[in-house]
This record gives sequence, C-alpha cells and structure tokens, in this order.
Amino acid sequence: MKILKSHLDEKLGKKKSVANLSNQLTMLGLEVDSIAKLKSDLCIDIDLTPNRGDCFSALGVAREIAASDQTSLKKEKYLVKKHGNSKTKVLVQAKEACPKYSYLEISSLSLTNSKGKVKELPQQINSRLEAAGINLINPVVDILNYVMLDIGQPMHAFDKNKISGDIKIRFAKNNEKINLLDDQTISLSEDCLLITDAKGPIAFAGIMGSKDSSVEMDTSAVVLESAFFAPKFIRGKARKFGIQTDASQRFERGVDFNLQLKALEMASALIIKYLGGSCTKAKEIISNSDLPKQKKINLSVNFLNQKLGTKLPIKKIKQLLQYLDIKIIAAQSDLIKILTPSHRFDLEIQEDLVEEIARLVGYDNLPNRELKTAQQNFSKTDYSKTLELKKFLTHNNFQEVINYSFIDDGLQNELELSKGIIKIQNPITENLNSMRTSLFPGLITNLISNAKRGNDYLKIYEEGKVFSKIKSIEESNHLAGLIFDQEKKSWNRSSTFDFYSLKELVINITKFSNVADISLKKSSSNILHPKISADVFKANKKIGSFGKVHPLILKTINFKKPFFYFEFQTNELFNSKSTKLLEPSKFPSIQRDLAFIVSEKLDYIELFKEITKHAGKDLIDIKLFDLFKGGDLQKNQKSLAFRLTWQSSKGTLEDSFIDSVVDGIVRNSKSKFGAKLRS
Amino acid sequence: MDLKQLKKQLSKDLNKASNSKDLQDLKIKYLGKKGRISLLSKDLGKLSQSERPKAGKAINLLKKFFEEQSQILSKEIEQQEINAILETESIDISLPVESEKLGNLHPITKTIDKICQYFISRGYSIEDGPEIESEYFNFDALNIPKDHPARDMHDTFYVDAEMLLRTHTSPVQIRSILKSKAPLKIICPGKVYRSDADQTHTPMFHQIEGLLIDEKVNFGNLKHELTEFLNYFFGKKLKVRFRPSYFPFTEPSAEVDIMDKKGWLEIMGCGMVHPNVLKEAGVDPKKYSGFAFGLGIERMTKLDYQMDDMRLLFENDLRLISQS
Repeated sequence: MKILKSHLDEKLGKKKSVANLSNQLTMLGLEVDSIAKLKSDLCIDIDLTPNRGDCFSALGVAREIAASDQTSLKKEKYLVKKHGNSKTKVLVQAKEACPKYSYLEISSLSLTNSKGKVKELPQQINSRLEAAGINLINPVVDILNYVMLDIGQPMHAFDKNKISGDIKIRFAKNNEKINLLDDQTISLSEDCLLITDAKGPIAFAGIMGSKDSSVEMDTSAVVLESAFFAPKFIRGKARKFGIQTDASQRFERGVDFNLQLKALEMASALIIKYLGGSCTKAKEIISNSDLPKQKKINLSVNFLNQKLGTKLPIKKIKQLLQYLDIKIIAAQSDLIKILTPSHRFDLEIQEDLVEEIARLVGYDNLPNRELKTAQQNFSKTDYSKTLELKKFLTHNNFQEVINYSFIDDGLQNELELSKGIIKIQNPITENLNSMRTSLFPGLITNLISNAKRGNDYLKIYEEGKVFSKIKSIEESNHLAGLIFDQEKKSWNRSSTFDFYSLKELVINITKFSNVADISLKKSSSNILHPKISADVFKANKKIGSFGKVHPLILKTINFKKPFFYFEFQTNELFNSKSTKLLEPSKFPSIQRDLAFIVSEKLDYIELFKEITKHAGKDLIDIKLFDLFKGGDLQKNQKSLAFRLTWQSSKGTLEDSFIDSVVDGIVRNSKSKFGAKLRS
Repeated sequence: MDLKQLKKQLSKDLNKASNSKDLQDLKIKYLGKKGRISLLSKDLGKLSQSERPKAGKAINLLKKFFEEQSQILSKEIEQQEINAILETESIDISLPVESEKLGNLHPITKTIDKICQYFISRGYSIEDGPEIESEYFNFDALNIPKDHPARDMHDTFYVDAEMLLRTHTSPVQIRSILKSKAPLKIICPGKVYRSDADQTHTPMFHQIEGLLIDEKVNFGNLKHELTEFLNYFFGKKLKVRFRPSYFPFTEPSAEVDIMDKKGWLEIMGCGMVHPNVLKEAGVDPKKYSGFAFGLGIERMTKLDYQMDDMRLLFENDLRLISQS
C-alpha cells in the first residue's frame, strides 16, 4: 500500500521525522519497500501482510506509529446537517454475509459547475489518491475512495435515479449475470453476494458495482453504501474472477465493523462541501448475531515471558496493550483479561498478544538465548546416502544437473514415457504441463543445449523425484546419467566411451553401494538400444537399466550422434549393509590360465557360469584376460581366455587337486558348449 | 707366485672390469673355491709353524684389499648402470595431458549440504516429504484454511481437486511430528513449486524447513539458533535483524534480515510454532513449544556465489554450473 507522509502526519497531529520512519514501520511488521520523493512530499510503499487488514488506510498505519511512539492520534470530526430519512428501502436477506448495511441518500448534488465543467476536489485529496495508485474517476467516486484510503472503509455510491424499487442483498443465482463497471459481464455462482434492485444486480458486493447503476457526470442524487461484508464471503471471489479491487482487498482481510457510520459521516460531509446537496439521516440494518465479536482473551504474564525469554512486569505489559487500543477488562496477579479492538481481526489467542508485546518491545530488544536441548540420536538418513552416491558420480567426473520436475507432455509422449503421466491443471506454460515420469527427458534436453554450444563430451547426472499415477499418485527418487562422447581424443588417449565403459561404471556403482545379489539381463526399456543395453536386477527386482540410447529416440529428438544412458531407483542403491572386515588367507594361491575355443554366438556369461559352477568353493577370482577372433580360428569361432585363482583359508591347495578341478571344468564345458581347450 | 705380483695382477683385473658380470667373474677368480687367493690360503699348511702367521697375515691383507677395491668398484658400476637406465628411460615431460573435466555437484546441492551439515552437527535429523502434496498438509494443517488470504501468497499448481505441488517445505513439519512425536529436531531440504517466473523467481525452487519442538523453547532460542547459523553460513559475524512478519503457522512470526553492503537483506522466515499447528499434529501446546524456520536455497546460493539471475541455475549450461 502506498501512502503519503503528509497524510500520516495529519493523522498523528505532528510532523514525524523521516530519519527513522522506514525502520520503525518495518520493525513493527509493516515492511517498508521504499520511500520515494513525490513533489514536496514522500510516498511510502508498505508491504502489508495479509493478517493486517486494519493497516490498509492512513488511519491504520498512523495508529501503529502512535502505539509505537506511545502517543495517541489526533481526533477528527465531521459535522453534517441531516434532513429526514432515506426513502430507499433495503432488505438484507443474506445476513451472515452482510451483518451490517449502512446507507444514506444525498440529493440535489452536482458533479459539474454552472459552465458544465467537472467540479474539482482539493489538490490534497487528488494527490493522496494518485500516490496510492487509485485512479481519479469522478468527484463522488473519488471522495468515496478517499474515505477508504483515509480510514479504511470501502464505500459505494449508486445513482439513485438509476435504481428502481427496493434494494435487496442476497446471494446470486447460479449463472446470474452482472455487467460490471469495467464493462465486463461475468457469470456468478451461488456463493457470490449481490446488491440488487427490482431489475437485477446493481453490485457484486464488496468487489465492484454495476455499470448501469454507476454515478456519472450528470448524477444528481446518490445512495451511499457503507457496509460490513463478512470476510469469508468475499475471500477468493475477486481472485476467482480476476478482479482484485481496492474494496475487495480490504473486505477480504476484514474491515472494522464499527466504522460504517463514521465513514458515511465523512463521505457525506465531503460531498456536500464540494458538490453541494443535502443528505438524509443514515440508516443501519444490523444483524448483531452475525457481526464479529470483539474477543476476550486471557493473557498469562508468565506464559508471555516464557515465550519471549523476557521478564516483563505486568504493569509494562498492560501499558503496551492499551497503546494498541486493547482494552484491559481485569488484571490480577498473573492474568490479564483483555478485549480486542474491533479493527483487529488477527487477535484470537494468547500467542497473538505475545506477538503484539514483542512488536512493541521490538524484536531486536528481545534477548538471544542459547538453546539447551538434548541432542537427538539419529541414524544415517536417506539424505546422506543420496549425497554419497552423488559424490561417487562426481568423483567419476559426472556433472550434476537439476531440471524442473515438470516438462512438456508432448515430449514425454514422443519418448513413450507417458505411462501414468500426471498433468498439471494450471501449468505456468504449456511446455511445463506434466510431471516427469523419468529423468531422461531432462537429461536429453541438457545434452541438446550443451551440444549446440559445441560440447562434444558430456557426462551429466541428476538425482530427483519422478512421478506417476497408476492407481494412486506415486513419487520415487531416481538417479540417472547421460554420457555423450564424440570428442577427438588427445595423443595419449584413444578409447571412446562405449557400452563396456558404462557397464564398468554401473558395476562400480553397485559395488560402491554394497548392493548384493546383482544380476544383469537384456533390457526391456524402450528408450534403450535392444541389443546394447541391460536391466539391473537386485535378487528378482529390477532396480535400473543402462545402455546405448535407442536409434529411434535419436530420430525423435533429431540428434545425430549416439549417447549412453543409465537410470536407477535411488533407494535401491542405498548401502544398508554394515561392513565386516574379513581376515585375508595366510595360505598361497594357485593360478591357472584356460583358453577355450567356442562358437562366436555363445554369450560369455554362459561359459562363465559353467566354469564357476565347477571351479569349487576356493575359487577367489576369475578374469577374462583375452578375447580373440580370427587368426587360426574358424570364422564362427572365438577364443575366451580365463585366468582362475584359487585360495583356501584353511590350508595350502595341492596342485593335483587343482588339476582335477580344471579337468572337471574342461570336461563340462566341452560337453555343454563343445568348448575346446586352446593349446 | 709372490703376493706382490698377485696384487699387481689383481689391481689390473679390477681396472679392466666394467660391469657387474666382470666383477662377479673376478670374485670367482680370486675368492672362489679354486680362486687364486683361496688356493694360497690352502697352501698355508705346507709352511712351517714359524712362517705361517706372517704369510697368513699377508694373505688376509690381500684378501681385504681385494674386497675393498671390489666394493668400491661395485658401487661405481651400479651407479653407471642406473645412469644408463635413466638415460634410456627419459621422456618429454612437457607433453600435454588432457585430463578429464572434473565432475561437480550442482551449486544448489552444495548450498543445501552446507546448510544441512550445520544442522546435522547441531543434532537435527533430515526428513523428506512428498512433492505432490494434499491440500490438507500444504495448507489446512498449517492453519491456512480455504480462502485464507495467505493462500494468495502461494500461486499454487494443482494436479487435481485435492492434490497440488507443495508450495513450501512446511508440510513436512506436520508429517514429521505425526511420525516422530515431540521432542523433535528436524530439517527438510527439498523442491517446492509456485506459479511465478522472472529474474528472481522460477516455478520450481528449493527450500529448507527447520523445526524444533521441546519443552520451554522460547523466541530467544530461535533468535540465537538462527543468528549462529547465519554467522556460520556467511563465515563471519553478521548484523542480523529479526522483524515482525506473518505466517499463519507461526506466532509470533518474524523475517530475518542480514546487513549487506546495500542495506538490509531479507534472508528467511521463522517463528514460534502456532498452537493450532501443534494441536493438529497431536502435540500438547501446553507442554511443548517450538520454533520453525524456512529459507530459500536459491537466494542463499545467489549470495554465496554472487550471481544475479536465478533462472540460470536450472538451465544447466555446464559452463556455468561446473564452476561451483
């Protein structure tokens, strides 16, 4: 809210020094965004928190300053001669939404002078409105806006000659239409409050009037409305229709419910003074049971001091409360019974009063106290386990990236990642309209943008949540990486990243994580190359996939060069085993090299399984040290050379024993795969 | 042969030896089983009792002489041989090596961890919560009923009528209390979402929520805890200011500012946990009190790394994020 300093000075009845004003307001909780010079005045821009609707006026802000300065405000009075009663009849049907409706009539006023020119209001009023960002409309509306800016009561004026019959305050019918002042027609729902006449809606209560009933230059009689609309019936409506107004902002935060008559007095006095005319007595339709109540709260001095870590005496607390217009009903020993002022909707419980005292004492003047609570015991959390994995990847030269969790559903569809996709109902832009089901789209987007900048080597990873809804909404953490290697290697390095480099990395990740019972199977992932990829299983559970990205994906994203990808469920990689250190064997080990000639079609793993099956329990290592094709081999053959190492923890292994083991391996490999030992 | 001549011969042989093999041969020639000196020693028995000591002594001297000389020579030869190895193994150490670019954590991750490590050391445990959250946990349980004006401060993304993308990490407060009961010390880092985008806002960003509940926790404790934390984070003693603010789930509420070169800078929000929140989570507000705080990671990252445009953090231009 913007307000001129001179306006505050007028309310305070003194010229406030500028020096500390910004700090004083900010430390009261009325954060000053800026104080800017405006002609010979200063315009103060205050960022109001939604609980302080009472500060939405010059009066409200000045009231806070006065309380903090421990002084009182200057008294103001408006005197108007009243003639008779209003002939307009008002019927309030929706009492719970409109507990108080005050109004009066002014007739024989004129917005223009004898020459047909619009009458001018004093510069002071105009400049205060302009500083507040309130547009000047016509003298009647401007005066009503000024009353609102000055004391906080939003008002409305109907051209009396444009309304027919009685005024009725009721809820809208479903789809009932109103043509508003700004000339847009909106269709209402049953929870919208209306002011109506015999013909239909004349105002969307507390938000905006209708065009048809509005005051214009030729208006000569008005009905002035000064109502209390209950906040909960106004809240959300303006936002729903996208029409925040100065009135709606105030009504939804809560307007002082004892302010309506005062506002009518002030408005009619100003109208008659500047536009002529005469006014009727004000009429009020009140439903006491629906009006908010001033609340009674018991404040324990002990409680307050304990909350703030202070030792404030009861006398001091009482004094401070009174500066805030909080009435003390009774006070004895530890307890103060108070009554909240009608302008404060935010004071409901003891804690609220604790904050009031803290504000006036000044948060800065409250003590800092070291906290002595017992240290909590805690085990290693998912957070630190995840961080360890991330660090492992960075030590393997991967750069971490963070992408938005929402992406384009079109992209997810194209990549066939749309199973269980969760759409956002109100996305900020269409290309951020669905929750990611995989980290893949984000990483390829990073690849494309970095490759465009000429990056021909990229190792990136991301750890974060992916989302889907099959039966219910599921979110789980994934860890995924992308490797793109098209770099011209330097003189001392030749190998390019390939499937086996990725396999090594994946196995290292599982080793680092201490995941037991890992096996690899051909991947079923449709983003990976069907022949150059694998799924990672932990026991019988699939925990991840890796491999070369499917050529179809490259086509889809129009990316010419191949790259590699892996994705894991993060929590399946958490290291949960406690490590037991095993004593190394004291006995010597025995090594044998065995080279088998087998069919080229035979997968390594098959032969490996057969060898280990017959190698006995003392086999501690098996390594494929050579893979050979061509040479003296037949075209459809290959040679696989293994180095096997045995060692026992119980004794020295005899050569003759190992010989018999090797015999068994050779025999079985031959009978199963026709494997010949290469001489 | 007389010893003098033998010594002359021996010196001559040693002079000719140029590698360890030569030296080994000489050792055999003179000191081997049938070596020249060994043979002399064997012949000692043929001498008379009176001649024997003198001759023995002379032979020993010769033996010692040979050993000393061959030792010296051995060292020289070893040196020469090492020199020869070094000569052949020499390489051009000025050739360039292209070391692989080092990996790095994202600046956001680093900031989160810098903050977490502090609170872990203070006995807080780290909690997590869902990012697609119910309206109840995101708003209602935090004392923000429907149509509460505070909901206007959160431009919320909805996925259906009841579920939304959490607008803050505060729902984890409730979830943690329900799970662990009081007393409690937790922090929760995580992603949050609001429909807002400009230089200082991205529709997804990160927060850290802190919550401490125990008996007799007061506002002074909150001030102390957060002031100490900020001193730690910025690595110096800061001017810190607490000022009144408003959050529906704390009372009293405060914003924390630090004094920067350009003036006060808003850093985080905090307050004493509202009794309604404690009640909602089943904690007796008469027995327990607590404080909560929340801070924006992007803002802390911007300050720590002196960068201006927050959006860059999520563009993942490796030239930028690999610097951190």
